[in-house]
Amino acid sequence: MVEVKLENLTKIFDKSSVAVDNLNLEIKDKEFLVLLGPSGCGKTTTLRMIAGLEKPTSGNVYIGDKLVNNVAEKDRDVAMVFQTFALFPHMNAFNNIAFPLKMHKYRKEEIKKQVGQVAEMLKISRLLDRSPGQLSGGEAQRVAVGRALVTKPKVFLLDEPLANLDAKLRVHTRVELKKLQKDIGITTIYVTHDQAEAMTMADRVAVMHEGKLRQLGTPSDLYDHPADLFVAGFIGSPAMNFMDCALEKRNLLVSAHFALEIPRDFAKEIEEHATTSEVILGVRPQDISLNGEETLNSVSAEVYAIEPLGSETIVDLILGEKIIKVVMPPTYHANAGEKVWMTFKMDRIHILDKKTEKTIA
Amino acid sequence: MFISSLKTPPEIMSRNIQWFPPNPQWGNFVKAFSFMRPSLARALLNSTIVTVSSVGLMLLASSLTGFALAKYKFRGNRIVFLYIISTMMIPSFVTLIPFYLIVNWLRWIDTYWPLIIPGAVSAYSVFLFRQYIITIPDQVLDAARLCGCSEFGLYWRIILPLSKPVLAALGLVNAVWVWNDLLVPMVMIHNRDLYTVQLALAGLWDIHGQLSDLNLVMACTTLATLPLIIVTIIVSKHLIKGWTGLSYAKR
Repeated sequence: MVEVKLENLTKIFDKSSVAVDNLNLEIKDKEFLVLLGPSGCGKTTTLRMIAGLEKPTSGNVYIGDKLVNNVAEKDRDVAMVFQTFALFPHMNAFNNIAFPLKMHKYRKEEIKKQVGQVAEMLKISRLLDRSPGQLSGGEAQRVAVGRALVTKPKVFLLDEPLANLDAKLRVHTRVELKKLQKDIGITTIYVTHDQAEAMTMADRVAVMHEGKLRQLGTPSDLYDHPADLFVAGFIGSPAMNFMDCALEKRNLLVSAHFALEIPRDFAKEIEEHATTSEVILGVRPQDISLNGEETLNSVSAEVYAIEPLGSETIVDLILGEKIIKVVMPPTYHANAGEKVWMTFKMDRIHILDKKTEKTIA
Repeated sequence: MFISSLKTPPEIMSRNIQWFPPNPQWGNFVKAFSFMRPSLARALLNSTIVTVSSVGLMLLASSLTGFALAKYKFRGNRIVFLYIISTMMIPSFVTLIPFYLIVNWLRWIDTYWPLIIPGAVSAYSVFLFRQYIITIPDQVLDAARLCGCSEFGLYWRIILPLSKPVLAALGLVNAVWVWNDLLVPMVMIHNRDLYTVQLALAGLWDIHGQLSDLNLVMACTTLATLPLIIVTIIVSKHLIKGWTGLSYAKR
């Protein structure tokens, strides 16, 4: 049972720049947890503190019930794969993978056996005598994973391991990594800024922003029930559309450009929980449909541009000064400047408090 | 120089320039060994001891210092670095007399030490090592740490092997410098048995009054140069990398 627990973890660089702010997080045994956030949100710093490469300013790190704040990185039984892979350029792949075993004074035959097993598992047996310079990005990545896993660590840390791979390979590798993690059943913490990686690989995702944990949940939790404006805008592609408006009368959302009737229970939530009547309406591009003529409870807008992607078409509309993105089937066609009417899937809309930026409904 | 060492004295003085003597006097090289005082063999040994230990110490000290300055954060890192760099601005002649006084106070006159120790500290080498090591990504070192490598292990197993081009380039340049140095040995060494090759060559004038046996002088000089040429050939592979691409690159 290897759980990782972070307790009030804080890291402040140079006395003023707060990288990680009072982070509390529990990673379960054998779980694949993704730390997701834009660059500079503190996710890599968090990972480095778990690895022991960075000392927390305050707070505690537990690995499997044991407080490891003062345990040296090499005694924590964690392994890490770096964004640049960080292979040792003067050693061939075999020696790279064997390096941690040599450091732990394994016998020669034992090293050979263990490296062989890991290489077999990662399908890199034929690459073992190549130097890092002769490996492609994907191969180097697998050697780096091999080097991390060869000592059978308790916790597996990955810092944007796919960022240096080309797009096609990335999609392939994330499936492989996920499968590998399930096969060996190792507690894994994975850092990325790519929400697609997070959504596809994670058991749970921890969204971070400005050093703080914004939301922790399963990928579908985050997508369907984002906790606040940041998470709502960060998860999903294209990003969720936001429209400022206010609740008027019983269940009418009104802005300068539209008046929209919303279900009564949403209105009730706003009345009960909003700090003011000012709210933000959030609708995912996938939850809007377009019509050539006005329909019941629709909002009119002007077509700004069309982005055909083959599998779908993204339609950019102008509503006031805002661009609203709508995902339509690939057969959809409209001309720029044309007037269209949007209908929202009412059970899929999100209402956020404008002042606190928290989700109300 | 090499061709002259194969000639007879009259052939050297002759106005008819001969590119290669009809009767090459290979025996000159044998005679050369007993031509000097101390013997050429002894002088070569002295120079080798001094050069190898001086350069060895220099590479060790500079790479360690460079590693610390490049990869560790500590208070005063920049100041120490600037201080080391600033010593490059002082010409060595200015410090010669104080240097002699210190050596005398240490009772190091007529020992190898004044020829070895000063060369072991080189601001330029520290600078070069630091600039090179700074280009080795931190992630590589972090990866080694997580593999269970100690801090000295980082230096020994990662930094040094990756610094081969710098080691070769600095090693050679400093070896040439120490090997060819005449001034310091001349000031510090009076005992003929401790003469370095350069000092012994310069001393030929004293022994022979006038340099009548120029062919033997040339033979001595050739033999004195030979070790450096051999070392250059051995390290030349790394040398070019050392001077041209002074940064760690994916290899």
